[in-house]
Amino acid sequence: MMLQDGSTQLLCLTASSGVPLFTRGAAKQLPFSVIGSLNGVHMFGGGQGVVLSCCETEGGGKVVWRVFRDSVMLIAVGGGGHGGAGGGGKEEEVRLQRLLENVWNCMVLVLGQEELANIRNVERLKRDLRSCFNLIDQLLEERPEGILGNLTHCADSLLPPNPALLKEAVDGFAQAADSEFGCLVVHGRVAAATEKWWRLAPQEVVLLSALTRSLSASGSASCDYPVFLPHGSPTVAHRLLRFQLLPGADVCVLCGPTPSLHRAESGLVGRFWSPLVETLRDCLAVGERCLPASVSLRPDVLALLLINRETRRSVSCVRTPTRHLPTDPPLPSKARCWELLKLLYIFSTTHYFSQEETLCVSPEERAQRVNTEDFVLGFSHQPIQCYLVTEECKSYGLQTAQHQLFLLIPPSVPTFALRTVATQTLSDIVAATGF
Amino acid sequence: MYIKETPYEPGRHLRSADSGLRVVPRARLGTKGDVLVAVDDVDVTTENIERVLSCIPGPTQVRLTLETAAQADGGGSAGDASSARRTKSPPPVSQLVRLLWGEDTAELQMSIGHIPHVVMYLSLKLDSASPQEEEEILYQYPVSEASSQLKGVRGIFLTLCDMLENVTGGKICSSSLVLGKHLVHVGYWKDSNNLLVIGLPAERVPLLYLQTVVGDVVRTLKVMYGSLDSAFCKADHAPRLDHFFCLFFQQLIQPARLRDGSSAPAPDISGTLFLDGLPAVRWLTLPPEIKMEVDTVLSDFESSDFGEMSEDFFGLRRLYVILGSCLFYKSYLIANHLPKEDLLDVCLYCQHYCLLPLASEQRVGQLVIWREVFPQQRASGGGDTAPGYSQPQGRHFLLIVGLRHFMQCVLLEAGGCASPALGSPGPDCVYVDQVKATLLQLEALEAGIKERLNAPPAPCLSCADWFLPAAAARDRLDGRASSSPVFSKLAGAVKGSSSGPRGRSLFGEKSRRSSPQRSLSDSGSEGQMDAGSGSGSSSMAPGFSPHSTPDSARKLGPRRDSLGSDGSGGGGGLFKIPRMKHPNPFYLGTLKKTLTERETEEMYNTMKLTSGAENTLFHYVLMEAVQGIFIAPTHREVAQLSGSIHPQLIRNFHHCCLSIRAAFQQSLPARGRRAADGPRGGGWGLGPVKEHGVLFQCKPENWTDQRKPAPTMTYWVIGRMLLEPVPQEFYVCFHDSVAEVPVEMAFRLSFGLAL
Repeated sequence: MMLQDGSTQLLCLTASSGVPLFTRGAAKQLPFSVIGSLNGVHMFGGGQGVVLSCCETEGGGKVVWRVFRDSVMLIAVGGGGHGGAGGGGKEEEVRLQRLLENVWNCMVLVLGQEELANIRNVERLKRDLRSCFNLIDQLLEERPEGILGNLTHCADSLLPPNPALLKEAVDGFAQAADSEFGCLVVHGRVAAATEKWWRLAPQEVVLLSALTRSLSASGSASCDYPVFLPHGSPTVAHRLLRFQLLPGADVCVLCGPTPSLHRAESGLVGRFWSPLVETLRDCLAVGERCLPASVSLRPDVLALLLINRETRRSVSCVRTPTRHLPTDPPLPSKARCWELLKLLYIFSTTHYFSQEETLCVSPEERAQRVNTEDFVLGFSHQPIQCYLVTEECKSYGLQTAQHQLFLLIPPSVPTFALRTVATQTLSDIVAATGF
Repeated sequence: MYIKETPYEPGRHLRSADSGLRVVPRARLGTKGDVLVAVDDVDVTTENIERVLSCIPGPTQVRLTLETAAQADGGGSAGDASSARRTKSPPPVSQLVRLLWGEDTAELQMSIGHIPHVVMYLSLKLDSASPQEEEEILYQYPVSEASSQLKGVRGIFLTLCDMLENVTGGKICSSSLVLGKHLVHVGYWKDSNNLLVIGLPAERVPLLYLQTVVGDVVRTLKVMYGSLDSAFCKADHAPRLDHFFCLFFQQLIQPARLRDGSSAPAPDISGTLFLDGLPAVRWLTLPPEIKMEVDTVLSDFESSDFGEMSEDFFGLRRLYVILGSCLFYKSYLIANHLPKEDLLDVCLYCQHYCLLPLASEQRVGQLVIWREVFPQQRASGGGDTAPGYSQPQGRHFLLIVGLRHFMQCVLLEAGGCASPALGSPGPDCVYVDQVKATLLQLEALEAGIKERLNAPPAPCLSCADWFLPAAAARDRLDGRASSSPVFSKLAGAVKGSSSGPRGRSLFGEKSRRSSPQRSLSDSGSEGQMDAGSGSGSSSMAPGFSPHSTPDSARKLGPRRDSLGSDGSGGGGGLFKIPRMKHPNPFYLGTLKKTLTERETEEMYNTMKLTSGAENTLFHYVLMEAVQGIFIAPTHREVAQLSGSIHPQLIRNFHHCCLSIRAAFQQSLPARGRRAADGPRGGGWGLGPVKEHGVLFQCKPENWTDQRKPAPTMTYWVIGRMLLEPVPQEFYVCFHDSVAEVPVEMAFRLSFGLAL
């Protein structure tokens, strides 16, 4: 067995000639012969009018293929295995499909579509692609914990205690920087953004948040980074200016040739943000809960993921239960809760709720989605809620016209009460925050 | 296989397998005066018969077409019994029967030629020294354009099978491909040096159920041929395999076509997949005294005490030991004396050859099937053999005899205690006659079984359409009752039959009041559950239980509320104490005769599976894993609940059950599965699932009223896996007005479900 349980390897090759561009993930790289065969079977099928999209083995191993722009072939190989990263079956397939989509968008974000769609110099491309590795590795390792946007394609958000004040500051700051696109990222999640920022494709918002996180992690106070927008501007680069306001709080704007990083940093940051330091601190204090103190969650909610289907935003959190008796069976750990939340999301969206993304879905992606949704399409009536009872915990999924809510609930809560917990949690959050 | 059709048929066909003509008992070859008109579809006359017969290479499968004398000579002989009967217009032969005979396969196959599907048996070990074109294809079906595309990429399947095992450490089990506009799922089954590949369109078989379908077809082949290799690697098997896979694809891709000319409703593909995929057989619970008589008759037969017909009588060693038998009536299993795994083997065979629907749709004149089988449990050396005991190394034969609506399957063993079987023996006429005698004996009990089938459904079922206000609005019933669609529907139905034998106050002494809250749109509002059960539980609510058979004018007395929920906020009655001991709902069919009217009334009230004032149960399936049986509402019960929404709901229920069962399956240890040695999906990230439910919303079709939003109806489909006290799987569908505890419902349903 060449691939360890639970590990994922990503292969990138040129679609036309099968030249390997890079491989990421998994400690041990697959032998070249295997990489060649994996690419070869897909190419062979293509010549016969058969497009190979996915393959599963016993024990949950998965291989997923996808060609982008007839130019780049991405292959993800999941090792499967019990308790592994993704579980088995459809869930793993969806996870890998999303991975390939995100990796491609990531490559476009950094290098632009032109360079990827018309490969002239393979060696140079290989070198250039190295600048994407940081982001790609984050995607592969599903870092940081608690960020679900890569999966949901909804921007991970943090709901600050006083959103109006922050929104105003972001608007003013962006305007002063000659930009309509500005965003405040707190703990890696979007806390406030301009109208136009939300009009970017959901994948772009997610990707830009990831980029901001990764730039912020580098430790610099500010940076000026050229980015291509995979959907909005795949061939013309914009500048992403990022400034650290406080540790854990960054503001960024997408702008044209002006202003210079220096002018923005010295002239604008202080002017707009120093009066708001206390507000920012309050915002940071929200922490991983993502919800302001005004929202009182029921004590029997272990973890939640709430998606606004219209704005394509999400909030999520995992809580440490307060009233857990030592005699009760142990509850899943925090990391396991995040894992379960992701699996519940994929399970519900592949079996019951369609994950329609009205914005910016290319025909090719739509076709891909039909493949993963073949089961959902078989229902004659609309599934609106679902629940699962497992040994570890109970989970509940709920879909309304505007929201999707996913909850993990301790096993001690009676099953018939789950629905009440879910509907009440939804209305509590919406009432308190207008999310 | 020998099939005899009803005597009404003008053209008669006998299909003989395995051992050619010589074993056909002469008496069964047709009545005197029948004319042989074709052999294997080649017309024969007295001139060419010798030549045609000489073309048959030894023992093989041929089809004889016979014509009765009456037909052949233009209906000349007036006194002929069969022609006299034929004056009543003969029922049309269903497509199913024709397909079973092997007729029309080419035409049926052509009609799905544009849908990509294929089965291939490929060799993984190729002699590269002498490469030949398509040498690795040991078997392929069908030969059509779409399948040739899949055949063209067999290299992909071989390469992936070879490579992926090394990469991920597991055998390959499925691939998904896009051919033009079709998404095709390909299932794999690796068998030593060969690979079985089955490609099916995704819209027919979802990926999550592909493994079950492939596992079942593999097991069926193993039961029939012993192993995949012996099935596929004999050249003379090809025509039989073609027929086998023609049936396989027809059932999956266009099941409706098989039911042409029959009255049965078109089966939904999800229902077929789900019910056929269960490691269990559909069971009909009979009243105990009938059940006992059936068992006695079967046991008498199984004792092999054939009197002066038995081998003992002649001082001979027995030809076969009867290992057990099972009995079907109109496609329901009503008695089983076979070990579970043997039962499943037999049932897979019957399912594959559509024998069960055959017997339920039309009276089978006579059906005799005889073939060697390889029961899987016995082949694998038996699971739980006691120390010091080993399975006899015998050969096994399956004898199926159908007579009208009865069908008995007998598993015989040669070798072991009985004399060893040599060559390929045909059906022994003594055994066939004894089964026929058994079936004739059982016909005396048919009235009782029929009565059970015609009894009102227990537990009671409701029709989904009754819960949609639209139905009430259309019916324009009197205003007082119109607030409850169920109520109105019932009231309407009752009007017509009020002069019935039981036409007293249908709603008991309580005045007609509207049912517990039923707003125009009852969907998903917060606290719905609480409100629903709360109002339903106020003491002596003006309740009633709608029944599926309003015309039977059944008693709808006030509900006893100790059964209801306690109203404590969504409490579906976890701690309910039944007022009286539950009667076994399955035995009521005859029990009710002996009860007073009042007692009957009480019984009906407790036959409700759901709690709350109204009967909210739409459908259910309960599987007893140990015995390999499941129960579900009978076809007749479902057919009675016609409407526009209800059939959709049943389809939806089955589709949802596919997903629920897949979730259960993922969390089971491998040996719990039907295809015991089969590949399985990987670890189930979510952990072992005990219970899984989905809430659905539906709206009436063609809602034209612009001013009002379409009314909605919401219902649950819930699956529950129980391991204690006996492994069971329970799937239920009920209206969303009362919170239910599935475990409790399963208990209520299965109480008394005993063989």
